[in-house]
Amino acid sequence: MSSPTPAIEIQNLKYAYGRAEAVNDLNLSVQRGRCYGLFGRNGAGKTTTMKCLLNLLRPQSGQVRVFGLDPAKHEVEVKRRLAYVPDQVAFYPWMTVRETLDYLASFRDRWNAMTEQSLLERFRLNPAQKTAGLSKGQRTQVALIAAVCPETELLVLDEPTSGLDPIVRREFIETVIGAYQEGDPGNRTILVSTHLIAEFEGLIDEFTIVDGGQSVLTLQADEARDRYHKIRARFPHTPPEIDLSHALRVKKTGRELELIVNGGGPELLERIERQNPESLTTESLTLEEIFVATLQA
Amino acid sequence: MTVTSARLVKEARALFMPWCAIVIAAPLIMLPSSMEVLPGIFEFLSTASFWLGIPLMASLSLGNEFHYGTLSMLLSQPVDRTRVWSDKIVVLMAAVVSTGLLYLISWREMPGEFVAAGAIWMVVTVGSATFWTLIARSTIGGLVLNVVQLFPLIGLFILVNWMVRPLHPAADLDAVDVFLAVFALIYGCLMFWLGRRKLAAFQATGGFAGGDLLMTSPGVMGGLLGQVLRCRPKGLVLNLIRKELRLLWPVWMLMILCVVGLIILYPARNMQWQDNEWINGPFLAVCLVGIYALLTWILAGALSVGEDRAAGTLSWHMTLPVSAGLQWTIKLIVVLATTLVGLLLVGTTGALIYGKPFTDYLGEPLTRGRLLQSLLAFLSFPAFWCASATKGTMRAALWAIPAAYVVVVAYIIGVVLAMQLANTRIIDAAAAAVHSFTITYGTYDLIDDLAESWPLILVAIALVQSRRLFRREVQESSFELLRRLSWPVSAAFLLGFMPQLPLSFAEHNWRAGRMLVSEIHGRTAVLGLTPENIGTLSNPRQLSPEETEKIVLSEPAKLWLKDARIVVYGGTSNVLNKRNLEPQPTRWTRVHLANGWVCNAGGTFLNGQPRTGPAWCADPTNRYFVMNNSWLRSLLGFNPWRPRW
Repeated sequence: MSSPTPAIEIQNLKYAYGRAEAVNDLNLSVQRGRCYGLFGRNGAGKTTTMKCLLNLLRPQSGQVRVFGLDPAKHEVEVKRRLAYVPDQVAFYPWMTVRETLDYLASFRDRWNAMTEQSLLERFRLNPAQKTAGLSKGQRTQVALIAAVCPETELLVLDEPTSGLDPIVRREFIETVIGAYQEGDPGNRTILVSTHLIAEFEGLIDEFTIVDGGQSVLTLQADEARDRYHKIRARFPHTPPEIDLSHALRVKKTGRELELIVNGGGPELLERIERQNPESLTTESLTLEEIFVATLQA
Repeated sequence: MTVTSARLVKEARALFMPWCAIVIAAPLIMLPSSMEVLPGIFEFLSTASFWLGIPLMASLSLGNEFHYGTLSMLLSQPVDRTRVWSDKIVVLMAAVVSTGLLYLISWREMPGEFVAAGAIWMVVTVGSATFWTLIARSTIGGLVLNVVQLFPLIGLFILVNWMVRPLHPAADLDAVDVFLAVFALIYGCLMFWLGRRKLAAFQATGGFAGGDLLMTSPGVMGGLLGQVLRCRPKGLVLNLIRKELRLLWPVWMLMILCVVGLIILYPARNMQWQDNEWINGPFLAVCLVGIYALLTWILAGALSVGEDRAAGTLSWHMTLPVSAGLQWTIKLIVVLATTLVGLLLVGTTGALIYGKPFTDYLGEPLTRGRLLQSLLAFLSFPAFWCASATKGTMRAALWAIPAAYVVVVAYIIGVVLAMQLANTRIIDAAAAAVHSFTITYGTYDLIDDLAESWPLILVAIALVQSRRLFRREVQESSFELLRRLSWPVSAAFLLGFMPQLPLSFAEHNWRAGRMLVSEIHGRTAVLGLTPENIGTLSNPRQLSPEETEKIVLSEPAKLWLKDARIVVYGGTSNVLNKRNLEPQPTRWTRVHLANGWVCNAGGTFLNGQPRTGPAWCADPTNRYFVMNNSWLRSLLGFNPWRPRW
């Protein structure tokens, strides 16, 4: 039975590096069993938010809760229930892959050796190789194995697929992350920050777009796809003047008109139809398109 | 700014701060020893800055590129590699030559051999720096290899002297010295050329650690030792200890090298360096142990946290389910244990090989005092603290000694300031108003004990701060480190100032009271006292306000004697007049201060020359207040308390 306590709860979080505000009044709630996306440009405050969750940084204002616990007060308890893959993975270069995984396993109460073996084979990693000789992508692979094998309740992934080749990236997202959540449906939560939004399209249940340290948009993925549409109309002559004030973005190219709308699509469609376009199509936006449209708007 | 000057400025900027530090240390040796807050500290700082600073600066030039991961970018620029090398060398030479000249001036009192050895050291270490830094792929690794390469060279020098001297006992050995100097110069030039060649052919291989020899140490830890230190899937604490021991391998290597060096020097145990009796085998062994101890104190503390921070593995550990406190504790214990084991092993080896002459050089406390040896291990802590407070092993290593020194100086300033403050008119006025110098032995000892336990209190404060900083993400900035250093510095100042203030206040009051009553007693002679009108101990004569006004002249005395009562009485004594055994009449003065204190002076013969006898003040319980001989007073070598009376 799932507890009503959210896996992650962030309220009015603020953090600044000197005078530079990294996170400013951010609110976020991630329910258990969800795959939650944290999207934003470089320097938007995603990594800082994650570091506050992990107690790597102390919030200067606001509060952060993981499974209802304050990471600063219940540091070990919180970390026992989560695994983290940072954006820049670092290991001790004198250790082999095998030794690194053994070392990390010693921190955990639980470690799925079968998953470890299977992932090592899938990623074609040589356990006897020293981590000093691993490429950036291979280091990320080791970090991903180390994050998945303890089978924790929460997986915090900061740009997990950066540096991975397309094949491994796809395999990781579709197989590894999918399998992780299916291992205990409804209880395993993922918080992922990524630029490669399209790659996580099928996995994300809910997301928040942050910009300048603030939450710009928080939506369920399905709801977002329902609300955000791209309308394309082609007219026999130059597009007529229509009230497009509800559109997020308007692009006119010759006889074509392309709109991105956030809700209010049917009314706008009706208005365009009245102008007798040659063709009129509408389609849902991908999460990446929503991200771009939101930030450009 | 031209392209060339921009590149030179970039190189100069990288060396500027270390250059400043080394240059500032040079003239310290010329300062009078009375200004030293710790005996010999100026000489130590000046010489250590030179012997370690020059190779460090030479390694930094290229080591910084490894540290910041900019070497690949630098070498990928459309500039010939030899040009990159020459830019670095030009700036390095300017820095080294200017430093060398300054030291030449500062060390003009030093023996000629010492200065010549310094010049050779400069040539060899600067010439070899590029080569060894490229081998080690880090500043510290380059520094260690650069210094270690000199051991066989020094051994060769000793061997040549040792072999030549018995063969030509009466010969002028200048030719040998010249030969050795030329040999060193040729060696330095050869290494210089090899370094240039190495950079020209350098391949930027290696992963994220850039193949740093300190971190990867290929092959060194293989075999049995590698198996012992290999992490296991179970046993968290043991794994953390293994990891720490592995992280400190350069310190272990240094220890092994030092032991080997002591063994190699064994044939030279009876050797003397030409006419200098004090330069002999045991002396060289002690020097070797000294260099080892200094490097260990700095490296053990700096490497443990510094390398973890630099590699990014510290942040990674903070995300694992083990408390930061446990990780910090394990790190600290392993650092202290490594230092202690190293010092004991190296010290014991030296004592076994060289016997009494070696232990005589080190001194009894260092060789026999186990407690002192244990405390010596704690000298790694400043570097450990610096590594907790900043990012980067190098920065932590560079700041370790200055940081410790600044803290000690802050304490001394606190003490001296408190002492000086006790001499001001404000304190006089306050003391005169309340006469609150009723401090007893017990109170004094308590405060004195507290004042002397300042290192413990300060270490406790620094430990707490280090633990807090350990888990934080810190910036790579000297300013940040200084900002954090302000806490222990402030604590040290207060630990010096706060306990010393009441002590100095009490001391001042005691001395002032003593002088006051002496002054009054001396002045009572003008009252024309006779055995008939002076009164007795049981029935003393109280001075009238007019008489009091006549004898109390100084302003401080008037302040102190507000509401006081002065009595005089006579007596007889032969104790102070051994030439005449007949008891002689004496006069005594007693001042009853407003707060109940009684100050006495007396024993002056009425029929002799007026002279001041013993004077003392007693508190109401009649326990005399006596100043303790503070360790600080002996440490300072002067009495900072200067009474204005």
